Amino acid sequence: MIAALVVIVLVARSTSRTHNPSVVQSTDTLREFGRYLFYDATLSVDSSTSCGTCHQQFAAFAHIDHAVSHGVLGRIGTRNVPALQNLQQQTSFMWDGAFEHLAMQSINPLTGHAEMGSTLPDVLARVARNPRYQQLASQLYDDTQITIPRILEALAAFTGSIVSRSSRYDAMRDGKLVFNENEQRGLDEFRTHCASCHAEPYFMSNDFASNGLPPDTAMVDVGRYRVTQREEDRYRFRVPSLRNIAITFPYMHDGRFRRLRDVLDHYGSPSKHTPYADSRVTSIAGLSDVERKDIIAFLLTLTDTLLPREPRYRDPYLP
Amino acid sequence: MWIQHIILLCCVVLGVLGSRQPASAQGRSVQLDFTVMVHGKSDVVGSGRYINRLGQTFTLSAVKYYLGHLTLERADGSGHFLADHVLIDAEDSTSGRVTLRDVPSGTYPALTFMVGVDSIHNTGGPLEGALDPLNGMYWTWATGFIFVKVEGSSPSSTQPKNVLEYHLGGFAHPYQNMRWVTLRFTTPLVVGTVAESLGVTFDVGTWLDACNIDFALQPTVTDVRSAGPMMDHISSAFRANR
Ligand code: HEC
Ligand code: HEC
Repeated sequence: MIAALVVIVLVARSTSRTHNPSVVQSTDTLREFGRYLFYDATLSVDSSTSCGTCHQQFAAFAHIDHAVSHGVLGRIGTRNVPALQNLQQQTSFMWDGAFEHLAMQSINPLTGHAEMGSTLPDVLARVARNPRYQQLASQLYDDTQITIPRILEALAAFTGSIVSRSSRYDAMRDGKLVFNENEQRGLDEFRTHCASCHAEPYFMSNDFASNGLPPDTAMVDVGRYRVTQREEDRYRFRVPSLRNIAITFPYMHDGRFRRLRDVLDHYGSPSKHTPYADSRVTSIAGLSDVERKDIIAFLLTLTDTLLPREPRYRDPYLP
Repeated sequence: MWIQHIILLCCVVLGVLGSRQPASAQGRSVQLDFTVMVHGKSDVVGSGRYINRLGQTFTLSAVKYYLGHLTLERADGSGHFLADHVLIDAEDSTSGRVTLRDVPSGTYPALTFMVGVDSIHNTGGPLEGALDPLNGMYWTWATGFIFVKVEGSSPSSTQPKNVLEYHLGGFAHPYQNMRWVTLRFTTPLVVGTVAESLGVTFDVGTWLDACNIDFALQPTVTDVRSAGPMMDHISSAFRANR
């Protein structure tokens, strides 16, 4: 049976190979193409908003201090902007996993009413007449053409290259430093209560779960159910990564918590016993004040020292 | 799910075996012409006014749909297979002209195809051609393609501006909404020395009637769960002209 599926995949791959846009001369150049696109506000309907407007490098590509996103023409979105990091580890994207391919995900913000408000034909026209992109395309593709699939692949090449692997936690794992007492106790607590979902070393998983948050009354976001229409997926969200958590506040899909303290209060309190809550959360009997503080001390070790300043991720339009 | 994979596998393998047969000197092109109609009338997008079986009038502003795994079938079930997906757009008459090249000579009593996009292509990266997201057939809020898009308006619609909007898709369990269609010809297609052609019509009117769509109750269908019952009726709307 497995062999049969492999055959399907191979056959399907080979039949569509002539259409694959990603045959490029250099992956470095493709990433550069993607970086210029990522920070290019002219891709939005009123030239006001780029991907980088919402995904800020200093906040590990989340939008700091915004509960939900702000897009073109003052339009307000419905969800908190997630960090972009180690995306290669993810098998789906968005809080509800709506997209299963990183390159395809970009269609959503490019055309979203409350994000960049553009259309794919407009995006293509604007990119295709820009001399910088013409030059990049002539380096990348034999036929020098710019197409929507190539634009999407380039954006994904850039966002997929954003890696977080330079935190105090990573240094500890590499044996380069030893955690202090609080951090070590926090890590132990974390492994007991949290790591079954937020799994090391990426502190995420590709599962969907309810961590017991009561549905928000304003948006009534049904989470994964919107995508699958399966009753068991109601109010489930993707288990997000906790890397760089200290610099990506506020927290949760709707940004309802401003401080890590609020998050730990949630996991430690009986109010998490909502009808949809996952048993891995409801089984956390309670967290003492010390335990909450220790877990926070540990979470602070997940902040990356390089990512927020890495020149390869930087806005190339800045002086 | 497994069943679908097995069917898909059989088609793929048969198709590949079929198309691997030596492109013999007699191998001919077969021209397929897909047209969109409403109750037997073509040029459906624009000013034409139509009436459904509940007596509700409607007009259409867009009809587009995907076909995959187009296979001319021999009596023994083997066949000649077209690898790429095809996007038929009622507004673009060239989109319905599909050429099967190097079809080995023989007798072909049926045409089989999938309406929709197979799961592999739904979850893969961006592709050029019929599956280019530029064609406006990729959902912007979820993974996957819209398989069938019918847009228009009807005074019976309760939506703003009386719109009708049917965006049908869904490739993941339990809402796998691609459907297989087999059209058996009354006169088999004989591929030999002369170039052959075959016309296939898709009648939107027949389809909406078969679905028993009431424009007042269901002016829009855009979720994968409601799409399934409509896709169940889609084969009834296809006819081969031989
Ligand atoms: C208006 C603000 C805004 C803009 C502009 C924006 N995004 Fe986002 N981005 C978001 C929000 C909000 C989410 C979460 C959406 C959801 O879950 O439904 C998100 C999610 C993502 C994700 C998924 C991350 C994950 O972990 O699942 C990626 C990748 C991404 N955006 C890339 C981009 C790219 C590339 C662009 C530019 C083409 C862009 N974004 C423009 C707000 C924005
Ligand atoms: C059942 C799996 C599960 C367990 C166990 C779990 N979480 Fe979560 N966590 C989630 C999910 C799902 C979300 C996203 C929920 C949402 O936004 O609605 C989340 C969100 C978070 C966030 C916010 C992330 C962000 O970017 O906004 C933090 C911080 C967090 N969890 C910390 C913890 C800690 C600390 C523990 C242990 C005390 C823990 N989690 C246990 C599933 C889990």
